[in-house]
This record gives sequence, structure tokens and C-alpha cells, in this order.
Amino acid sequence: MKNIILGFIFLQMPLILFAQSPNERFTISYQNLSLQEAIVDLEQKSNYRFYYLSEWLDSLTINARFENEPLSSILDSLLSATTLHYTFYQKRIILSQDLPISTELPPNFFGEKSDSSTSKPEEETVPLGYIFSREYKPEVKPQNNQVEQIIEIGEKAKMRAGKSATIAGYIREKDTGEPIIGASVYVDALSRGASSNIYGFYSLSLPSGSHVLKVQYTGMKTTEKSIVVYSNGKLDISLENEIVALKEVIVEADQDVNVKGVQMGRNRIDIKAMKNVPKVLGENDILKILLTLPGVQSIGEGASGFNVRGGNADQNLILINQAPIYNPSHFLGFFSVFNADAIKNAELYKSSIPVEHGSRLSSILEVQMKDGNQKKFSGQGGIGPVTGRLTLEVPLKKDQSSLIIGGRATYSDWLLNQVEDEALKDSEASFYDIVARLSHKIDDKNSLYLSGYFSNDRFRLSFDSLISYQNANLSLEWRHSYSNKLLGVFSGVYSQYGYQVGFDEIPVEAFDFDFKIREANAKAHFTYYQGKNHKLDFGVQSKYYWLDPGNVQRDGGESLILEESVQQEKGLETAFYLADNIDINPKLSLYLGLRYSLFQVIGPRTVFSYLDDAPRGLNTISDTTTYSGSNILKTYHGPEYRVSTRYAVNAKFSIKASYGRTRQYIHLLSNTVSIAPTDIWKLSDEFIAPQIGDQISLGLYHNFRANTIEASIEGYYKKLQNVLDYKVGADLVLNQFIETDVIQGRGKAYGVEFLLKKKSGKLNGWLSYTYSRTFIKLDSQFPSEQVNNGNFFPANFDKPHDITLISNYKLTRRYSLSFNFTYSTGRPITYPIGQFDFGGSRVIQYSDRNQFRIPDYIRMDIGVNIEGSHKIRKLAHSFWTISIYNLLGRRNPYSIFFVVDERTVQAFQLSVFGAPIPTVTYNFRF
Amino acid sequence: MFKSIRYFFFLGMTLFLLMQLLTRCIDPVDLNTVGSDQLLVVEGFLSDEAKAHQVSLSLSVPLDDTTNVIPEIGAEVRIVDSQGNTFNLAESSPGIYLTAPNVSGIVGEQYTLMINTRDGRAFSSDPVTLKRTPPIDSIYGRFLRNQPNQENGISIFVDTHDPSGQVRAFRWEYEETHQIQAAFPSELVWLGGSNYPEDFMFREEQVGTCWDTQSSQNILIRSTQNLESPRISEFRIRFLPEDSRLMQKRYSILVKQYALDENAFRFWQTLRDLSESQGTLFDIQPGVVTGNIRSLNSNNETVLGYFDAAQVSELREFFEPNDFFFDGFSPFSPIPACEEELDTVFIGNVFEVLEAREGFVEIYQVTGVAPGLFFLIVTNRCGNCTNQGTNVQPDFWE
Repeated sequence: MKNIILGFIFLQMPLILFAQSPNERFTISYQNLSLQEAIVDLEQKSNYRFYYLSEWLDSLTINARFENEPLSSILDSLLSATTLHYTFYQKRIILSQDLPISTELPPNFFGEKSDSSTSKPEEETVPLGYIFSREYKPEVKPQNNQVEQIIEIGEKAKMRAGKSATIAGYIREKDTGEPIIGASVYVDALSRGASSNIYGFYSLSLPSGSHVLKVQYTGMKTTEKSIVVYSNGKLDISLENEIVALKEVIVEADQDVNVKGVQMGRNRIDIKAMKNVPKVLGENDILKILLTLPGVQSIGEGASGFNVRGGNADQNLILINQAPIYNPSHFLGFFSVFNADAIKNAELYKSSIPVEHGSRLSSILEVQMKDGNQKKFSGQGGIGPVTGRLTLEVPLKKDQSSLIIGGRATYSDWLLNQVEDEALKDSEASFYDIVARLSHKIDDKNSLYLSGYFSNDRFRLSFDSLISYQNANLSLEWRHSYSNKLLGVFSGVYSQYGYQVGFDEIPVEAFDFDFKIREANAKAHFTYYQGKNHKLDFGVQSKYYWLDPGNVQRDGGESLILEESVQQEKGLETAFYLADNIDINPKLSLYLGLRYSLFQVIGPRTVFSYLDDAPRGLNTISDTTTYSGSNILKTYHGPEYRVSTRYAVNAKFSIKASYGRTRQYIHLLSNTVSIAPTDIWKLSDEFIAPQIGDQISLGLYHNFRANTIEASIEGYYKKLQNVLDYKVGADLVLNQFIETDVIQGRGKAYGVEFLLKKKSGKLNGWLSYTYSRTFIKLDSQFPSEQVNNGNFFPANFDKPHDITLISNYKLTRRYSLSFNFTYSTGRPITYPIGQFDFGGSRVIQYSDRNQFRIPDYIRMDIGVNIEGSHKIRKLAHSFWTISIYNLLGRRNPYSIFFVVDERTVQAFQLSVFGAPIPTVTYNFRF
Repeated sequence: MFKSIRYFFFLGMTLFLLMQLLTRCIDPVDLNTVGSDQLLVVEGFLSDEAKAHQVSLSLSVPLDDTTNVIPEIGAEVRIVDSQGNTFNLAESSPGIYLTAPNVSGIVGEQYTLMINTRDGRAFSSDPVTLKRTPPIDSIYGRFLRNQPNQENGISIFVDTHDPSGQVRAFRWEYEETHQIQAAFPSELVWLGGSNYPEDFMFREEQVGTCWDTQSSQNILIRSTQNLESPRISEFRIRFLPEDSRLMQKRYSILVKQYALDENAFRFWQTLRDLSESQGTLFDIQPGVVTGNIRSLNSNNETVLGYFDAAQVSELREFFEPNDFFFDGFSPFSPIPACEEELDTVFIGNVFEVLEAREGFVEIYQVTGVAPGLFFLIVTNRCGNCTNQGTNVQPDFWE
């Protein structure tokens, strides 16, 4: 319902009204009727005629029963939930919004002067009500046609001079009704503003009176609204796309949040920019874009996962619609599991992680799906060399409910079958994923969201095991605004990840192995806007995990494989948090947050005790304890401080600093260089302490040329405790004594990140340079638990220098060119450095861990995007993307490996994309 | 079998598969690891047998050095038991140190290896207990064909178990001996010259039947840790592919079994696993495999190798083609194509032929009556087996 209220039509009414109290009584029952239907019914029953604007009565549903009651009390009851008032006037009932219509003239209306010495003006108590909005009409003519009319907010009757009022509402895209995240809402004259949250919700405290409200968002027309604020009220704002003909979803960081926000270490992925980045296999890929941002690295092309500021790949919490995704990669890392068409926005927090997020050390990647077009049926899709995809947006009830559903699938199995090679012919490699989200706006104060995600991967190399893995999750979210100042979000999430390995080629060895992690998660989150200077976030979150760490079963009657399973693990992670965003003055802002997290290891479980004076091993087990189902075996808890501050030197330049601590109770056991889909998640227990990370960072932010160029420098220093690693040669699968193989150590990481970003104009893109180092130290009194003699060594993803250029040049409206360049230092590697004879065989002697580096990585890509014609009326809007990945054809080493042949060792270099890879993708939307 | 190695292998292969679809991108590169340290490698073993026990000391060699082991000479080496008894080892050949003959360890006793090198560095092993080794239950072979992902051939398996359940990991070594039969064993030798019979001599020793013995070159270990009963069954110790010559006539394998404790098993397992690099990111993280030898001078000095002590259980088994195949159907072709390599040469030409092909041929027989004599000449391979083994029948040969 639009709360944009037109001027009172009642101002035209005769000023003298004769009230006539109705004596008639009614017995009526209303069930699920709209207010308007109820009023029509009353009209018929009572012989009164009602006068009102139908839009006032929009969305209210009436469930009421009246026994022999007078019309006035029925109306009292019906209108109680609205801002409407009623007045009887002859045989008419006149409804008015916000203000009752007085049937008496104000005292001294006809100019009789009151005795001013005896009658004090009642500025404080007399409502400054009877004011015509045109009195507030600004003297300055609006600069553009975006100022349509004066909007009144709140009820005049409640207006108090000089008091502040809170206005709040949703910012949406006009055509689709899609909430816009991170739009700036501000009043220039007061230099006061707010930005919309992930639901498009904003709340802004303003003094009562007239203001010009500006709403700004990149890619959208900047909108100015003249408003008159009487009291707390609601104002929803729709923004129009800048380019009307091309309805690309444009999502970009708020123009000056870089300088103005308190947040640092935050990057928002621009879905529109993704379209212009040359892609390797024809898919827009959030994770690939992520890797172009400063501070985000991966081990190599096609490696699963990513590393943020020196953190392991399992230290990133990846959320889609609040639900965690445990494996973000398809095809082992060549694709991300996110279907870009269905995604509105992705946001990465590298430092100063907001208090409402926890459970991971290094970063939070929050992926938000679109809510779906609420106005009309639409869709988009594409066909690339390996995948096809389609996303549909279905409005279920206009402006109220919508459904978005997207799917992707590969036809790589078909491709493999076309290959002549016998080995490839019998192989399989495929994946698909499905996302869906149902949004329903119950009323102005309540909305419900139901989202689901499922992905499946399947591989088989001929004559080898079949491996498959799935991500699945479901989330239900209820958003309730108690008032303009208090917003609550309640969510329930279920998420699981599992993989299976099946082998049946040799009947006696046939087996099925499976692993599963499940998480149920409930959260209550509140945001309270207190006055103009405080925004409080607080809430509680609880996560229950249960894991089947490994289970192997015989496949078929002939199998001789031992059936066994590793005992189930259970744990409960609970966190309470509170944060205050304080605007001390327009220059200085502060974010003070505390998250207190608690982790309980829950039985049943059998636990071994080990001797203290020896490394943990099977021969040092001293005792065995079995805990029953309800026992709490171990509790870890601790505070996580999150503090950041911003000082705006001027509107274009600011300095920020932050300190944050994070705790992580769940770990990915990975003994390989890169994480693999078959790695195993493990909860903290009495042997594996939670990982703790502390990060301080400092940043300088400067915007140039009317916020079109953003420059920033961020530096950080990070300390990690209890980082997980493994003894050399540890076997982690089906290991009943995993604590005998795990070692925990310390880590430190530091770096400086430079980013120069041009967000609009013909030429746009960004250039980033990162210098970063990451070191790990695994020391122990026992040599078998040491790596590199207990000294610091560079982590697998320690790539000190990293330069990335992403650029796009619009030749015309239809054609654009893009160009990327990436350089990074080669990753560290453990080389064989010698050989020796042992036990009759020739054995390779390895260097210290990560003592050497593979050669540097250099890649250049180009792409051309061709938009379809710009006719507004046509079946579908289409565009083509033609790109060449690795234009130079440089054989960037991915790894170096060694083959021992007789008595000589030969080294080979392996590159993933060792030649230019051309790709053509066709995309369409309707 | 189905444990992580397979997964990683699998994942690695999947990546290769994808890469094959895209481009083929494997290039040899030069190793550029100059200046790597030469580390001391210690390999020592003490058993309860009464014999001279051996400790070998060597230095690791650079990767591009295909030559030989560099022995560490002139070191003082001794084994000390928990009672303080010391067994000194003397260097018998460069880098090979032996105890006095007839030294035997005692089951359950703890031994420590101590080393002082020429340049004054000192090393010591962790104390190791001489472990009891249960006997080998059986050794048996099976011919398997048309198995997926595997060549046709004979697999030789070992079964063992520890009735007390205490020994949970084993290591094996084997010595295999196969009998070689020359198709046309040479009866006489040409002494060089052109007169018959003065320049010829009948062989004093037979060259028709020989025996070749080889030691195992792989790391053969297995743990019962994840098995229901502490029993090893069907551990494949050796595979003889169909085209191998080893099962031509008769084959014998001597399997030596050693009990391992957890640390030793771990050491051998890591050593083995790290030699199987696929070059993918899903290979296990490689590193220095530290055994149980430490430097006494510096914490930062890495020493490679292991000193262990255990009983040895041995079992020998004989196999011949008839154990696996019906007569005449052995895929192990008995004597490949020697008939075609048999030439008949008239005495008038024989000296010319012998001179031209000296070193490549043997004289099988002389037939006919003088002066119409013919020489049957065959290639070395078919006429003399001493190039492939020894013609002295081993003691154990039955």
C-alpha cells in the first residue's frame, strides 16, 4: 500500500458540520474481509454513505464480530489499526487520514482577539495540527522532475514542534519491486542520512518539518522527495533504473559508503560488472570476481575455495539467504555454486565483521537472492559451452508475493560421450543446482521469506570410483517491524552438505562411503534506531551441528570391505550479541560491538585419553571414557570484540580503524594443498581447541570526481591461534583417532591493499594491488608434531604481490569491450630436493614445507559484450558475450610434480589453461 | 585400499580429465633446486637372529644425480641396550657398518642406535623395543584376468595374524628367485682360432639352468588398525604380469615379515605415500619425513631414516605354471621364439660366423660326421642362461 497521501480533499468541506449520533445497533461478523469490503457492507446495512479514498483501505484484513453495537464503536474497532478517523455528517460518514475532522470551529476562528495576557499560547500542548501542507512547500523549485509532490509523513495530530521523528520504509526498484540494498537516503541540509539494509529497509531520524530527502543508488535515477514530517511515519520509495531500455539488474556499492560508512574491509560484488568480466567457461561467477578483489586469493586456477587475508579456505562463512553453504564449488573449483542470474548481491566482509555474524575466522560472504519480480512475469537465462541456465520470476500476487526459481545444469556428460578417447567416453562429470525463493508481504509490518537451495555434483573417471556431493539448505525468515525504530528478523535455517564415494568395479573391494554434516540454526535479530545518533543491533543465534564423519559399507554381497563408521559428533554453538552504531558528530562515527559465543560438545561419544608426556598416538592412549547422550563433554566460550571507527576529514576523505576478534568452532580437515570436496568437517572437541583470530586494520578512503572514482588503502595485521594442520602423511578419512594426526599452531598475516575503482562513465573497472604475507608456525615439544623445525613458514596461499585490473569500455550502448590483467607471485611449494635409498627403494627427499615457489602467474583476458537491439517491445532482450581467457596463452604453472623413473626424477609443470580459451555465451532476459 | 589415496588419485585424475578437454598442458621442466643440503640417511635394523646386523649410513643425493649412494664413512656406530650393553659396529665396506657376527637381539629389550660422524656430529635414535613378530600364515598365488583397471597376471598374497592381537602393523620384504631355462644350452665353447676340434672345448659347467634372485624394491606395509580382526588376509606382495618371464619355469619367493609399531608404520606409510605424486592440488601435503633419529647437536638439523628392531618371520613358497594353468595353456610363454634363432652353419663357414658375431652367440651342439660337420649356433639368450642368473643352484632350491 502506498503511503503517499494526497492533500486532504476534506479541506474543501464546509467548515460547519453537524454531528448526528447514530442510535442504530448492529450485529455483524467479518471474516477475512478487506476493510473496504467491510465498509461497503456497513454502507448497505446502515444507510450511511461513506466518503474516503480507497487506497487508504488497501491491505487491512478484518476479522471481527460485533454484537448489538452502535456504528461508532464498530468504526472505532475497525479503524483502530489504521491512521484513519471518522466523522458523522448528516447521513454521511467521512473518513480522514491522520487527522480527525473537527465539527467545531477552533476558538476565536472569526478573529475575536483573546486576552493574550491571560491565555497563554499553547505551543507545547496544542497540536500544531491544522496546517496545510502547502505551507511547507519549499520556496526553491525542485531541480528536476523527480520531485513530484510533497509527501506528508506521520500524523499531523501528533506533531510536536522541534521534536524529532523517525521515518522508515523500504527502497525498491520501481519495475520489479525488488528491494535495493545499500541505497543512501539523506537530507543534505542536515547532513544526516542512512542507508538501506539487506531488506531495503531504512530508518532515519529527522526533526519535524519540511525536508528534501535524497535517495541515491548507482545505476538508479537519483530521486528527491519533498517531505513534511509530522510524526513517526512510513515512507517507501521506488527508484527507477537509469537506463530504461535495458533492464539490467544493477547492484553496486552505495556511492559514497566507501568514505561515509564505518565499515571497513567490505566489498560488494557488483552483479552488473560481472557481466563484463571475461569468463572462462561462459558462467558469471561470483567467486571468480571475488578473487579479483584485494585481499582475496586462491591457491590456483580451479582450486576450490578462497583465502581471505591469510585465512584458510574453511575460515570463510558463505551464506545464501542466511543459510550456510559448505562447499562453494562445482567441478572441483571451476565453477561456483551460485547461479548469478538469481542473485541480487554478494557482500564480503574481510575485517570488522558485524556482530550478527560469527563462527568463522576470516570472512563472511553473504549472498542475497533476488526477491523476484512482484509486478510481472520475467525471466533470464543463458547458454554457455558447458552449462545452460534459466531463472524465472513469477509474481504470485501483485506487490505482495513473488517467487523466483533458477536452475543450472551441465551438458558435459554429453560432451564427454562425443570424445573419441575410450577412457573419457566412460567418464562422467556433471552438476546442477536449483535455487528458489518465495517472498510474501503479509502486511506493512510483516514479511515472510522461504528460500531453498540444492546442488549436486557427480564425477566418475572410467573404471574408478564415482563421487558425488550435495549442498542443500532451506531457510525461513520472518521480518517484523514493531515500529519505525525497531525491526526484528527471525530466521530458521537448515543446511547440510554430504558426499559419497562409490566403488564397484572390483566386487571384493566394492564399497560406498559417505560423509554428512547438518546444521540447524535459529536466529533472532533486532535493529533499533535510537534517536538520530544510535543504531543498535542485537540478538541471539544458536546453531546445532550433527555430523557423520565417515561411514563405509559394502556394496554387494561379494565385497570383503570392512564396514565401519566414525562416531557421530554433535555440538551446539550459541552466541549473544549487541552492537551500537554511534554517530558522535557528522565527522566521527563509532561501531562498538560484542559477540559472546559459546560452544558445547554434546554426547554420546567415546573419548580417549592420552599420556601427557608423549605425542598423541595409538600407543599413548591411557584411558577411554564413554559419555551418554545428554552429556556435555566440553564447553568453550569467549568474547568476540568488534570495534571500528571512522573519522571523516571532509565529505570526500575519511580514515577508519578497526579491531575484531572471531572464534571458530568448526574446522575443515584438509591434508591436501587445496581443499577438496571430500574433505571432512570436524567440530571442536576436547583435543581440538577453537581457532581464534584477531585483526587490526587501518584504512584511508578518498573519493574523487563526484564520487565516481574511489581510492582506498587498507592495511591489516592478523594473529591466528590454534590453526589446524596435520602431521606429515596424516590420513584423515575414516580416522577414528583424528586427534593423533592433528596439530594446532599459530599464524600471522599482514598486508596492504590498494584499490582504485571507477564506477561509472564509459570506462569503468578497478585496479588493485595487494602486498600480503601469511605465515604459520607449528611447534611442539615433540618432533613429530613440528613442521619446519617449529619455525614460521609461508602458508600455501602466501602470494606476496598481486595486481589485478578489471576494465570495461562502452563503445556504444550496444557494444562494450572488457580487458583484464592479473599478476601474482607464484605460490609456495614443497619441492623434492634430493633422493636416497631406503628399504631397497629410491625415495624422494622433500624440502622444508613451502621452501620454494612456483613461477609467477600472469594472465590477460579480453571480451566483447554485444547487447541486443534497444527496442522496448520485443520478445526477449538478449546479449552475447565473446571472450578469450588467457589471451597470451601463457602456461601458468598450476603445480609442479615429480615422477621417479628407475633412478631419475623428472619434474613436470602442469597448467590448467595453457592456451587461449575462447568462449561464446548467449544470454537472454524477458 | 579405498582410503584417501584413492580419493586423491581420483580427484587428480578428474582434473586431468578436465584439462584434457581443455588443453593438454603438461610440460617437463628443469629442476632448479641447487644447493640442497646433503642430509644423513640412517637405515638400521636389529633382529633376534644370531648374525652380523647392519646399519648403513649415507648422504642424500641431489635429484639430478642418478649415480649412486654417497656413503658416510669413518663414523663410530654402536647399539646400546637398556642394560647399558654396547654393541660396536665396524665399517665393513664404505657406509656399511656391521656388528660382530652372532650378535642377537632379545625380544622385549630396548635398543638405541648412537652415531658419531667423522666431522664430530652426534646422532641418536629413539629407544626402540625389539618386537615379537608372529609367523606368516601362508603365501599363495592366484591368476586373475580381465580385472578392471589391472593387467592380467599372477598375484602373490600373504596372510598373517597375531593371535595375541598386539601386533597391528607389518612390513614385508621378499627375495624372489626364478629358474631360467635356456632352450638350447651351449655344450661347447670356441676358444678363438680356426681349427676343429683343437680350438673348441666342452663346457665344464652347465649353462642351461640358472637362477636369478632379486630383492623387493617397494615399501610393503599393512596395518590391521581399521580391520575388524587383527588379521591380514590377501595382502598382495607381488604381481607378475602375464608377459613377465618370471613364471616361465619355476618361481620361489622368500617373504620376510617384521612387526611394526605405530611410529614405524607411520614412517613407512608416509615415505611410501609421498612417492606417489600426481601433481594436483589434491595430493597430500608433502614434507620432510622424520624418522626416529635425532641430532644431538642441533634441533634444526634434519636426519633421515629409521632404526628399528624386531623378530623376523620367514616363509618360502614355490610356484610353477602348472599351479595356475592347465598344461600347455600357460600364458607365460616358456621359451620365447628360440627356434628361429637357431642357425645351422657348415664347418667351412663357422669360424667366419663366430668371429663376426662373437659375444652374441653360443654354440649349442655339433652334429654330423667329419668332415661334414654342422654347428648349431644360437643367440646368447637361448644358449646360455648365465647372462641372466647364476648357474649355481641355490641351497633352498628343491
